[in-house]
Amino acid sequence: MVTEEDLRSDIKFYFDGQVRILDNVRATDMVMPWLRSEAMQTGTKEGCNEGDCGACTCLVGSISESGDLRFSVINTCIYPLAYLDGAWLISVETLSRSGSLCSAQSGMLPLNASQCGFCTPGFVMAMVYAQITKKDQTPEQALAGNLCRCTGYGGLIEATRLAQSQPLDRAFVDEIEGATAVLRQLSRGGFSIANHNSRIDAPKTLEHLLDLRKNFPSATLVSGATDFGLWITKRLDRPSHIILTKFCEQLLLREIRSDIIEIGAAVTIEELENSLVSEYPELQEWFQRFGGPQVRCSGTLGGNIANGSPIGDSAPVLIALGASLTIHSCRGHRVIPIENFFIEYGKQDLLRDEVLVSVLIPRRARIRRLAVEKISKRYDQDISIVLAAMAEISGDKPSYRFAFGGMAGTPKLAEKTMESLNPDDLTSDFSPLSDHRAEAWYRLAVSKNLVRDFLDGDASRE
Amino acid sequence: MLLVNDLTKPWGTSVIGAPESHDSNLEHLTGEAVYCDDIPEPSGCLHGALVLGPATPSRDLSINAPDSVQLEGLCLGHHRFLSAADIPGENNAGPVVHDEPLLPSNETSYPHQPVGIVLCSDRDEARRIAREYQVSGRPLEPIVSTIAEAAGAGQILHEPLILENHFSELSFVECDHITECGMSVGGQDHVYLEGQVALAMPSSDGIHVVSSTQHPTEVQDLIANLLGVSAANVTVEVRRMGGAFGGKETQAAHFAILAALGAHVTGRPVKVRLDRDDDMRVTGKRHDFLVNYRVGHDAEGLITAADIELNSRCGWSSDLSRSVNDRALFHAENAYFIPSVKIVSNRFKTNTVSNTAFRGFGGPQGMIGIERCMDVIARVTGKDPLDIRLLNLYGTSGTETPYGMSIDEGVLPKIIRNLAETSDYRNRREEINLTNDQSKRIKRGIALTPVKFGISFTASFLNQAGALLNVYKDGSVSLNHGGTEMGQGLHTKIRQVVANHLGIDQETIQVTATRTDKVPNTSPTAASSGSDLNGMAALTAARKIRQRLEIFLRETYQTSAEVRFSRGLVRVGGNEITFSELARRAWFARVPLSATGHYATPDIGWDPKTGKGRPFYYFANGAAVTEVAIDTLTGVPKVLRVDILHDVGKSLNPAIDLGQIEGGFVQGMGWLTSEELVYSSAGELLTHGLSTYKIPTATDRPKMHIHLWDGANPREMLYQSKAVGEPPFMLAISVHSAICHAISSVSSDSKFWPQLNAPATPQEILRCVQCAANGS
Repeated sequence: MVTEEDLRSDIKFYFDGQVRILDNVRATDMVMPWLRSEAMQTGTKEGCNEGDCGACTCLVGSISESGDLRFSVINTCIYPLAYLDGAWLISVETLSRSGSLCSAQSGMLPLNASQCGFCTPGFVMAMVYAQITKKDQTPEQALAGNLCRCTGYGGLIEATRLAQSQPLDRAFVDEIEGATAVLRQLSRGGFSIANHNSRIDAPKTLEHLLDLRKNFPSATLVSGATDFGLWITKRLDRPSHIILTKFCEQLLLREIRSDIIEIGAAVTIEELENSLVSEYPELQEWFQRFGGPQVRCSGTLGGNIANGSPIGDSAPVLIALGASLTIHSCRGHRVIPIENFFIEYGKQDLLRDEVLVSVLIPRRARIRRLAVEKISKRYDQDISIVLAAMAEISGDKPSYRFAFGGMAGTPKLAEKTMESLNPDDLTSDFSPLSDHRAEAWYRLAVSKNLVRDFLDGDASRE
Repeated sequence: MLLVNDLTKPWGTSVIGAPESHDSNLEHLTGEAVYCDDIPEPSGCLHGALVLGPATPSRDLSINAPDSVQLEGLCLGHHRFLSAADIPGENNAGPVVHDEPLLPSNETSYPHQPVGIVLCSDRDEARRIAREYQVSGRPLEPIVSTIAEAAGAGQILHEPLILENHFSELSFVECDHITECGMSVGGQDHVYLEGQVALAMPSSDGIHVVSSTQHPTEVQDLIANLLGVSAANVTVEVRRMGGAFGGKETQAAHFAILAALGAHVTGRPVKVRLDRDDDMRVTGKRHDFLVNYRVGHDAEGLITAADIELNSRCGWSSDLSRSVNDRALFHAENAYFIPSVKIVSNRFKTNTVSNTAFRGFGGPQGMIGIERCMDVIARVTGKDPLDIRLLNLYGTSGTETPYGMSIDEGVLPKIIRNLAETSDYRNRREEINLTNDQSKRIKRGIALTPVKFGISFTASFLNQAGALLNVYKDGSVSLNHGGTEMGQGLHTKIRQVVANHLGIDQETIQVTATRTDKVPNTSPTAASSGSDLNGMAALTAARKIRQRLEIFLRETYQTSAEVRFSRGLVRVGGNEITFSELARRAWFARVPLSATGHYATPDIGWDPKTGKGRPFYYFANGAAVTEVAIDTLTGVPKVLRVDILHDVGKSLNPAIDLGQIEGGFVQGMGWLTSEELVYSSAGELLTHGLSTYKIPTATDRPKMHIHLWDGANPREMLYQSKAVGEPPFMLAISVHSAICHAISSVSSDSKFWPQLNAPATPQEILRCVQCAANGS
């Protein structure tokens, strides 16, 4: 049992050479307004206020389980301020704190990579992230979460390539060392802050989380906040009480067992690459197109599922793979096939005192063939019109699992088609909507084409 | 081949033609460049949030203030609501025609039209309070939101402009073939990364407004008129914008006026910065068009006659729609000679946002239809579309435009032939046609399309500019001009011009924020004219200063020898002094070291009744070859490669010009592919955020090979340079044409050409692929 005394009533984070202690954080507070209005660091810009343009991109460093500093790249407009607890916030100003440009910036200088310059700091931050952690990524992938409306990205791509090929400059390495020493003194999570009709709880253990969930069933459970952020910035919601899952150790587990890969619900999409994509290389493109790096670094697997969106990109894939969910409450726990979790639009099989704790994904074994096709108006950082996940499972007679996003009120199996193997039966499986992404006929036509193509085993696509 | 490939070497002098970086390059990278919202808020600053009207345009409006329960937890009593009733002067935000109330008093004309503004010390609270205001009324009937509906209801904004040149129906009787083609052309949101924003501060001189606007003078005029004060009491300042693209030519004014109104009423500073979704809901976009072409031609594909109809959706008010449609009409033949031609331009009024300027300003919508005709004629005649284009180009069979100007520069045929060769267009087209037969799922396409774009404001009086040049005693120079910096590198280019003329280091010249109290009565920075007009004005000012200094030096040294200004030094006879020493001495000698410059473009003008005359001073030209691939199962397109050869005259700054070409092309590519504005049947915009409206990302960038044509502006213009802002946008029409080519390969009918509308979204492409496969 966690008592009030064990909990801090503030957050502590490192920024601009100082540990900041904030005891007045509200459930609605995001990082960007704090940076621009409180810290008066205006290099971080607001472009869209919904995590789609990257103009507000910053880095966050935190100490990993192994004790070293790990970086995330985030959209600060929808990143809750409370999540900075125990972390290092790195804004564009941090990069030149020593008085000279960092190598990503100086490399960019002669490339005419900026025109109006408004998006530039955000791009610089995305480049630095690629320089630190993603040297093997293409520059285009590294920049997928950043929009520039003036240039055609030529100079930006070149500058990213250059940054990826260069070591971090000395001054920044020194910054990292200094920050690491500071962060080792700070803890992550384990606070409860109440003020201004607002309460934030950040439990560190599952026991505490379940306890809070039981005692405060109307509180909002927040995971990666990539959707929650929009409730605040766009819908202008004022949730009175939020419970953060991201500091809860049991929800951060990743374990590869002989038959199952278990992934904690608060594991970010970015962290999936190693555990999931290495098992299923067919998921590489799906992973890459799961939002830009900023979205992948914030968004969690559990959040993507529990949110219940019919167009979340993880559910169809997990359904096709035959994954299950473990759901806990103070009353005990249960395991259900993921497809049963989605009851109807906006309704999931999760009671008010329950928490989605982990996702159980079968290992390769009997899955002979897997194809995932994401159809969207734009290749990168777009919401799916249709996401088709199709698996062929070996056996005496091969069987198939076809799961779709964007075709119904929930992510759903095409049961009739799986049985008949006739793509035209998708018309019985689904009656999709027409909306601003596409019309119903298109969703059906594309789905039929993709199923037909998968059944043909046609690998002729370039 | 004459191409400017070596960008490291300036041509001419050391400064003109040098690939100088943007003058704010460093500040962009470090985040130190200050945009309007980055200015530390003055104490007591209030924030404004729009109160939006009903989703359905309505009359007999009633606005109900929220009660204390609704405002619980917000700063009740500390907010202020302003509506039409609070406007002291004329309630108008219409820039040309005064048909646009800033805040309607009784009737909204489009979905979510703002009816008031909430002022509060906290921006988020202002937004929350604004949403608690309930605005209702009786829905207008009928609601007219599309071009077809407006045409059916006879809802026109302005009388059509009908331009005829040697036109006769008989020309269609005499020709071998008549080809008809029409298409719908979508609009486009600007997606300037910095949204609309203004900060108004009361001052002892009146009111000082920092606005993210392309047109400070217009903002000044509208504020003065609305507040009932003189223009001299309003100062508008712009240091830089975070992108504009036409979206801040007229439509930045509304938010600046609202801020000024708030400051006027409360006596406190007021900032109005729109949230992205509100910005996209209430500001105008590129006009969407329905175009119809009836083209008569001979068996070889030579056009003999054309009857063209351009229909545009203007929205609820005039804004710039007259000029936008005029320009569409002046580009409806793009680069092709049509001996007998009639163009009808219909301007429809709808219950939607007032569509406005956007890079190209109607030109792209005018051009895309005739380019489609070229492709269709090629199919009908069994020829390569490039040959149809070459056959019909100005200079081959005629030079007279529909509006009566003659195209005699003759540069475009050379550009096209050159590009076709360097891009290996013909071999690649052949290879693509062969490969497409083998590839089931992926089909490729390739197309070459040209651009001929008229340079000058079609509203002729706007073709003027002013500059102010101050030389200080220490030799440093402060340069101010009427143009605004939105990322296009205008200040960089103009600094080069002045540095070159005074022979001083560019670093000694500070280009200062555009301000209406420094250079008055300016034109918008638009129509690609920024560096032409303001550069010439700055050059005039620099010439005045230099002349005065030359006279002073000759008197001082009692010589009639030539005075040379170079590298910060001034030489006359055997004497040499530094520019700063010269400035000091000239000041002692009471030589005025401040000068203004003014420029007015000569030799232009046209008759708005007939459409005839010389609307343009000169033309900018270019061509692009684009290769695409489409997935025939999903309709998803991918632009693979583009080769561009573009004419900027003698480039003032090739680094900046190449950036404009690259950026313009990618923006045009977005317009024609992924950027789809979707409206409900009631005219409500459904794609009002960046999560639903998709502009290109880095991955969408094709391989780009961009070269500058080594030409010179034949007209008298800044070191023989040409304008570059808008023309490259239209190079992207080649993307649309190439997608059509890819789709056509699905069909077994050699005459099939898809009825592909714009934007070519995956759905639109798949629709055409299905038609191609079904032979319909």
